[in-house]
Amino acid sequence: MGKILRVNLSARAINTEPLREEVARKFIGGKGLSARILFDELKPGIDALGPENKLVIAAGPMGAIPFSGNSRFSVCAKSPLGRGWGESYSGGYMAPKIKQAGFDAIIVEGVSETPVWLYVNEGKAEIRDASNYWGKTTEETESGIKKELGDTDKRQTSVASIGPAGEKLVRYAAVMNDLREAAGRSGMGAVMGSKKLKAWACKGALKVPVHDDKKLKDYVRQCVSEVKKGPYIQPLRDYGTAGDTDDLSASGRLPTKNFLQGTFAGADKITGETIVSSGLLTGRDTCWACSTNCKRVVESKSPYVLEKEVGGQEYETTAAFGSYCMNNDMYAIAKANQLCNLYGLDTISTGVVVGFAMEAYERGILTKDQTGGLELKWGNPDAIVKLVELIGNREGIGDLLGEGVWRAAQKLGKGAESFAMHVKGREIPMHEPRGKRNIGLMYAVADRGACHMEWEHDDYWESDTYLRPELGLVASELPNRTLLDYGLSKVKIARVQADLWAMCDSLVVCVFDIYPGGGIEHSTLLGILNAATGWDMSMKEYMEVGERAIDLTRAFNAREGLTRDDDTLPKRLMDPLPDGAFAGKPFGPDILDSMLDNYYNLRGWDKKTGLPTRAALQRVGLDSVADQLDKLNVLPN
Amino acid sequence: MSTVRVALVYLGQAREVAGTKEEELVLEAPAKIEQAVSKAISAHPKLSELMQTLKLLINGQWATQEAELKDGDRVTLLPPVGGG
Repeated sequence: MGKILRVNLSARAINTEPLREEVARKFIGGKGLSARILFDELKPGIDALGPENKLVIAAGPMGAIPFSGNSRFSVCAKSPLGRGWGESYSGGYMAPKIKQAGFDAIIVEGVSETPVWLYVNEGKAEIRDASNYWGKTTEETESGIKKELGDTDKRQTSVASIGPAGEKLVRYAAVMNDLREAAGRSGMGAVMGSKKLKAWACKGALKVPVHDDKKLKDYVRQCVSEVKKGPYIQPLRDYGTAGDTDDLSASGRLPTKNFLQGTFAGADKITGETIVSSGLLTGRDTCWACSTNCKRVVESKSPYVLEKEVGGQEYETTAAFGSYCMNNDMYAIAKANQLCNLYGLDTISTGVVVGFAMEAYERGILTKDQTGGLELKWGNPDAIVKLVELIGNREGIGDLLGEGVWRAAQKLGKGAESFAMHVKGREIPMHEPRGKRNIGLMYAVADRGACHMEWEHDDYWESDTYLRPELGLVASELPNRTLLDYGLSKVKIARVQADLWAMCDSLVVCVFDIYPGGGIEHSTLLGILNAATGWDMSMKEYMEVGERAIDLTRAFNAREGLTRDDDTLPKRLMDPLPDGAFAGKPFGPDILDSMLDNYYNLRGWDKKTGLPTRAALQRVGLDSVADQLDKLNVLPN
Repeated sequence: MSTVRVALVYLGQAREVAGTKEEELVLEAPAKIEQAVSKAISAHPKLSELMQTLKLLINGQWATQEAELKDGDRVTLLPPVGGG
């Protein structure tokens, strides 16, 4: 079916293994395949930054087939941020290169004694010395490797690397590829750093075989016409993801001041439209084969130097370094974003850490002595930029903050835990559960920790427009779908969507281009998958792949000791907002409990513990996983 | 004849269709949001295709089509805002 490359850095051994068809069909690629590999090969309780952890880099079975959204790959491992599962995704040009270099996935295990990088080229791989790149930024590393390879075309090779943050084990360090793309979340860059793996590079032009070329081309043509119909596509092209910033503030749902407010007076100064109208935006860019063009190119000489190659800010970054820190200076946001890209930091976690530090400073828990003289006042743009540098280098206060808010709050004490905004150790993204109930459920139940990308948000489901009977979303069976509803209808939508998006994460496609925000229908993706592989997969089987992946990551966390108690939210998110359209409406513990009960029920998980039952695991063919949980006494009776 | 002067704010997809972020409307008093929306659809007919998914706010607070308008109100047409 395909091939998996296994690289042991301790033994400096490289092997190729077949990807068996029955495994590929059940787990596909990306999330599903990585969950299978890591569940089978990692022992529970290992140190995420120790030699026993493994990194799985994966494309999907449709990789290298050119259509909008088909340009992503995954990076998964046990996360150094929390106690369990970690996963992250990135776009750019790496995904097709993994396939054209001859592989579906790369497993990296062990630890190298000295810094190395991995070169993968048309079915072969070699471990190369990276001493010259250690300590360098991601930009310096990528250009150095391309020079070393003698590349003349900038798209000949795709390089993914870590910066100083990953080397220094900042727990939310990102993996950066193609200069501006980030597998940002879950600290996968720190896992690379712990292995002394500075980078990997994929090169090649191997033809990826497809089963039925004619059918495939028909479905790809269908994609081209469908993607244009997505309601989010044109705004995304015009203003990027940051175009939502003022919309969210207008509706009282823009995370502001470390989640103390839902509106930000400076939202219109940092929103995507202002990035365009001010001239900060100098171009639009895209990922491989994608017509959406949502990527931003920004350039400036002052007040901060911004390089066009290093990327422009997305929505999450805009809010995290903007409203979240009470900062209305879009140039400072752009600079903080580029520093994160160069040092290799997740912009969401970094922004939340900066907001946390600002609140600690306001409360006197962090003093000017501790910050090295840095005035960490709300909205201070220079302080935000400087703090990102300190974190990237783990210098001064940046050393403590490089641990993430969960650990930093424990070390600081004095009540700092009360404003450390995380779930399962992972910093919370820039969406407001008090104005979107399913977001609260999502933050709580996501196995990777607080995540905004497990399913499409509540707004899409208020009207009947985006409901699809063929996907189990029937309007007459789903009453009460307003933003504040939290009953069974809302949770049913979450469950169906979670299965679909877990399948997207296994195919490793960009949900921006897929229904409902994008126009590509799941039936079309299924058509491409079947044409490419020769399978006869039904929509039921397609959705089961997503369900299986979710059950497997939940089983991974069960083995690590996580339970229903970990499916929770910081108290601050349960208290009502003081401002905006949702003022005075809490997301209380009773609401979360009711949503969790319904969600566990729909998944067949045990309501008391939140763990998957034998019946649930057997339903998706994970009998051996149930046996293992049983042996470890974490299978509910 | 007395009138009500309000600002209509288009966000996201509504802004794409209207081709502007904000415009002033003068309506015959007394006026409800539905009159403002109806006038907006006359000026930008494609808005009608979006109406099922748009939410309405007056001065940052949720409102229905029946809500009464007064001078200086800001009416926002908000499309679905998703993840990303």
